[in-house]
Amino acid sequence: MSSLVAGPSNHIQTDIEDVLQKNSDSISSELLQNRTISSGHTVLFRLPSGDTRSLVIKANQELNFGKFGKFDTNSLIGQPFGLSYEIVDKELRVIPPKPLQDLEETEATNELIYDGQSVQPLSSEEIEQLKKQNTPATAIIQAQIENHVNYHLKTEYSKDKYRKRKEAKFSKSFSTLEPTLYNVNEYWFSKDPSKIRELRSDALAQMLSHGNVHTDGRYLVVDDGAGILVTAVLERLAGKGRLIVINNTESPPTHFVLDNMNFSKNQLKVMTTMNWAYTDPNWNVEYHTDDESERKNEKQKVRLEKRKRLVEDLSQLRAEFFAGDWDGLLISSEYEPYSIIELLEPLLAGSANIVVHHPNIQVLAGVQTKLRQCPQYLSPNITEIWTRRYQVLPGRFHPLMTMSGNAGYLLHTIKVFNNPMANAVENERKLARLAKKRKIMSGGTISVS
Amino acid sequence: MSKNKTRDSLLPITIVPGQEFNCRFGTYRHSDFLGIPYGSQVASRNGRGFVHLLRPTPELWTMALPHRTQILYLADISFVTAQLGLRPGMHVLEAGTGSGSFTHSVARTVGPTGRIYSFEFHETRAIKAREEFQRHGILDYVVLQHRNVCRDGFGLTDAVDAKQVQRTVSALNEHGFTDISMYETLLRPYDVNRAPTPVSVKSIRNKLQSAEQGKEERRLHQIATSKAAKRHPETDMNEPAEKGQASFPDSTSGSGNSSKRKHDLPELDNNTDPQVISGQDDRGSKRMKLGESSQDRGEAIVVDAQTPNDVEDTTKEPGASLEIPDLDTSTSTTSMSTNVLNTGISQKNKRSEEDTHHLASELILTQTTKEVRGHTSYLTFASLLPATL
Repeated sequence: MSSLVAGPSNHIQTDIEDVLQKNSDSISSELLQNRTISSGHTVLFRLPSGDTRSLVIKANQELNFGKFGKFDTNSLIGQPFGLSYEIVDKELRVIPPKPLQDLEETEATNELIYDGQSVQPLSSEEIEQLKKQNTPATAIIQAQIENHVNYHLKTEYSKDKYRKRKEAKFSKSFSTLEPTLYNVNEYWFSKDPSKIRELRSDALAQMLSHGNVHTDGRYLVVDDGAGILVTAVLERLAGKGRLIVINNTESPPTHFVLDNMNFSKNQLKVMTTMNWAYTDPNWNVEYHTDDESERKNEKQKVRLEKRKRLVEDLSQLRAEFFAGDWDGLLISSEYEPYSIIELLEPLLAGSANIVVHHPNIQVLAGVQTKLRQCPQYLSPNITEIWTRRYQVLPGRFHPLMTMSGNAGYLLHTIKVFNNPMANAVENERKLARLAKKRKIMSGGTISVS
Repeated sequence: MSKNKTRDSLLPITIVPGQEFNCRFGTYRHSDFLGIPYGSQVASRNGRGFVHLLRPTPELWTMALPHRTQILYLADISFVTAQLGLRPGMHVLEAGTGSGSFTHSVARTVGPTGRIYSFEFHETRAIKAREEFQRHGILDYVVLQHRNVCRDGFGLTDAVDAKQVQRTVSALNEHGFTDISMYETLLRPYDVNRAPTPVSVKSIRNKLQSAEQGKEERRLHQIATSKAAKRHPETDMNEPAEKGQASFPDSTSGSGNSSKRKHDLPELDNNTDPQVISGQDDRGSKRMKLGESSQDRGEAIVVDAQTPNDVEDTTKEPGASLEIPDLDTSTSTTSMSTNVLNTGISQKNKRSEEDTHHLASELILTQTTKEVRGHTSYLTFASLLPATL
């Protein structure tokens, strides 16, 4: 299918539509399906206070957000992700998106505004009363503004800030967020970064780039950060390719971040987990299968079958693992990274990417020093991720005062095949050059080659 | 297509049998590259060096591609990819193909089931980009158009995941975009080096003190010698050595080079100078016991960090006058590399002293590289949500 269109604009319109038509079936139906809220889905809720909450939605339930209101989940099911709603009598009303208000500056200053004054005559009891009467948030805020002693003195920006603060407190509304990798990552990073080993979303995005993680690829992942890295790779694989996750316990790893993502069975099927014991080619455990004739019990037979299947699956997995040719190795682990790389490097394909994330540079510096001495790692390098966010408001554009301090560090290298011949040639040249130099210095005769 | 990377220089090449490839690391025949696995190191034909052949990736391409415009690098590309939640199957609009750096990366991320609709108003650039997409096998999911979208719009209806590149926030605002955010993102690369652990300033202080002391001793010695010579004019200047006293290299060699003072004086191995005795106790700590005659000169001592008792012991010994400036090491029990003192201690002793304290003789140090390549853009994001359903 030729997708290039180059030429005068009058031809373009039809061609583009043509392309779109052909492509409509290619738009993954799974993708579309995932973008509407269904029962059993995880939904991220952004509350007026700025908090985000992650909840699993089931039909016919009541969701209670405390002071922000409560409502019936049925009104949410079938909705696309990303909209904002107002809660009115347990029902949801879609709020149209609010554009930024351009504020006209006035002459107001804070010259006459004194701290410590009692400026807000509406007491908390009075406010509670208004709330009980189901007064809409806007009315409460309006009442506060009207009774505020100094409100008229404020600058427009200050008034805006005041209003927004009150809205965050009294508003009975929320927005939904799609549990994409980015949203889930941000959610965990602000809630409890230590659980995901402080892997911030921009650092994770860079890992995926360095690792050239794409659908139909084959990757090895070591993830001690609740599965955030596994989640990222799974999302990119989109059901095609292969992912082996190596973990440090006998039981399956606690990768609870995966649960937030609403992955389908199809997407999950490319992944298998394996523990470190099996990464030793010389290690084999004899799985004794009891003499079948003795076990006539139905239950025991079933169990035996299950066990047999497990053993077969395991040996198949190991065969696949040791066959090698893996496209990349991604690491976010509590264990020493060089020891991991050393163990798994022989299984990587040539030109495979190795990417390690760590919150502390000292660990990576040690790894890089060791990698530099081995010829099979090309240009190992360390980078720090730095991001700054800006407040975007008309007339008030500036970097945010507080922001996340660190996203950790990345180590990236490419596995290559050392050619002793190539190095030998290089060394010969070096020696020849040195010899030439010495001869010149000592006044001997040399032949120019 | 393959790339080679030699010491941080990345060059893209397309293998055409029969052709030759020349670079500062040597000459190579393209046919040499055929049939060998990606990642291989290949020696040049003329022995000038080697290259590594790497499998092309969007990231390597970004670093190697011929620039026709300013491009986006890995930090920005990754950031945008994450913010927009790009994944396989998505459809993306790109206004401004440029040199195709971002296009390649997005194609990798959303393809083959997704699409990137890329628009470039510069005809030559559009053509060059198309050639590259075709050569790299991604043309199936890149829809490239030669078109000025700022002037003529996208011509797309029902487009999904639109990303508009507009210059100001107010423009976004006017067109109904909300939730506007802006970021800048940078990569800071680090150099890693090994260096000897910095040594405590106390050790140099001690060295200088012993150097001063040594100088003074020699001065006095010379005075004594010359006095003796005056009394006995026929006496050889070398007499002190015959008498079995310490021979100071400076006086015999005649050089007043102070740098020699810093090194140990091997002669002191045979030193029978009653004033300076070096000793070693069974616990392996090194101590200097002073004769009474050097009391007034004072002395500084090395203290074994692990045996604070040494200090008390030496004070009890007769005739010893000790100044212990290193009070912290005498009381602490840390095993940080302690300072090695060379106050005229013999070469042999110095070496064994170093052995016991070589735990942290080297550090691995990191530093952001001298030059950091920045970026030229702020990344602005906004959402376009339906006003009604």
